[in-house]
Amino acid sequence: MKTKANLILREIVGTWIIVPVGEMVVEFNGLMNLSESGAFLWKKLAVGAEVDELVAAMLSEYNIDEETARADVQEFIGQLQERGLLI
Amino acid sequence: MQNAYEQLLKKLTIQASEKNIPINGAFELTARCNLNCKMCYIHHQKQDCSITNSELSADQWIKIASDARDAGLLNLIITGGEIFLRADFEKIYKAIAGMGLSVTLYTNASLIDCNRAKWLGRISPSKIGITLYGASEETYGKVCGNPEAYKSVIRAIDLLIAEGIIIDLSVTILKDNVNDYERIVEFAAKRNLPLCVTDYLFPIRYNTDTIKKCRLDPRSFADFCRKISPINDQSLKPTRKDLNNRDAFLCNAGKSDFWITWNGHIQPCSSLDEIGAYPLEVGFIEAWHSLSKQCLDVPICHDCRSCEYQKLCDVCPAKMKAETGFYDKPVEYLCEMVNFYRTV
Repeated sequence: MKTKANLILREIVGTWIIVPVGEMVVEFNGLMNLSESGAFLWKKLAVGAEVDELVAAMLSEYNIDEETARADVQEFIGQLQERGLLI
Repeated sequence: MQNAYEQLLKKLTIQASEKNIPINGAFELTARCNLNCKMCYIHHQKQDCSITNSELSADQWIKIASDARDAGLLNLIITGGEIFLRADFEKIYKAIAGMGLSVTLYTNASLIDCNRAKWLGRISPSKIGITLYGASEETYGKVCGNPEAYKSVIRAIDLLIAEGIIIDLSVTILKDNVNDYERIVEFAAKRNLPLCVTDYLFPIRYNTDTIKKCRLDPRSFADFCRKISPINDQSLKPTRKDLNNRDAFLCNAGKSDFWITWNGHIQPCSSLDEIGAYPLEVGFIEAWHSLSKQCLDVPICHDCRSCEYQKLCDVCPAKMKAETGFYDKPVEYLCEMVNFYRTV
């Protein structure tokens, strides 16, 4: 699972946002803001991480249990898929 | 009603303004234009060598964009003059479009043909802002000195729509085109495009006498404002966030917003060229901080700040300086207009 090309993660005044560039602007014109953990997951997805890797990364980064981590990962992936930001 | 995108932008701009981050900027790539609009402050001949020799190079614009992005720039307007007159426009735009900025292009659209529209569709800006100067060849002839441009502009708008590019229309109202206003509104509505109205022209940078001659007189300006009020209420009655603010600028100029002229001068906005610095000489960050500091030194106009009709008036230090030569002297033209507006 990977984020589509031409989507750039930036931190602007303390807020993580996704900025589309090039051809992605027509497909997704706007900005999407991410939480701190969303940005953390986005960086993993940008290099093609799978769900189990994302859950493991969440467990090592945040003080949460596996059930919560998996639910958070699934919810985040669902949001990105809904907006057509994953391949 | 604002959508989530607009709400996010507003929130980011407020935060940036509080932290003095240059989140919103404009690059004026050229002072040359293929049209010759009588009220325009920046329309040198397209072959004017004295201008081309002083315009920043493509590499200089790209360097400034990169430095500004690293300093927090998110929303960038690329404007002119007419941007498509630059032979190296594609080089500049392609480099900047890949930097993670939300880019808006401002153009008169008369140089956008089928190939250029398709190219823009492949490297799409977030938005293209197009100014309309009339609703007929005749009016384009009177305002821009180029009647043929009208058809080119209309064709370009339809080509850009076909490419899926978001377009914002604007219209600058003056004596020569005020009677076209309804037809321009119809044109925008037919294509479902937003239309922003600039109804107050003030004498900025140069061309000052002509601007005063071609703008509406205060009474006609007030009549026009009353007519369009339901359409463009916000521009007629700007919401002042904090009337007790000790800052002369009630906008975000110098707090989160900047403008860089065709010869590389960073300033608060397009209108105010007496304040600023040169990023290529001192570095972007230092130039930005210098600009912010200079803005804080601009005196407040206490007459305007205490005026009971201030909410009906769109005055600011840049307009006062342009109209009166002082940052803190009320603009008679606007005072007259407001008096007509509230009493007619």
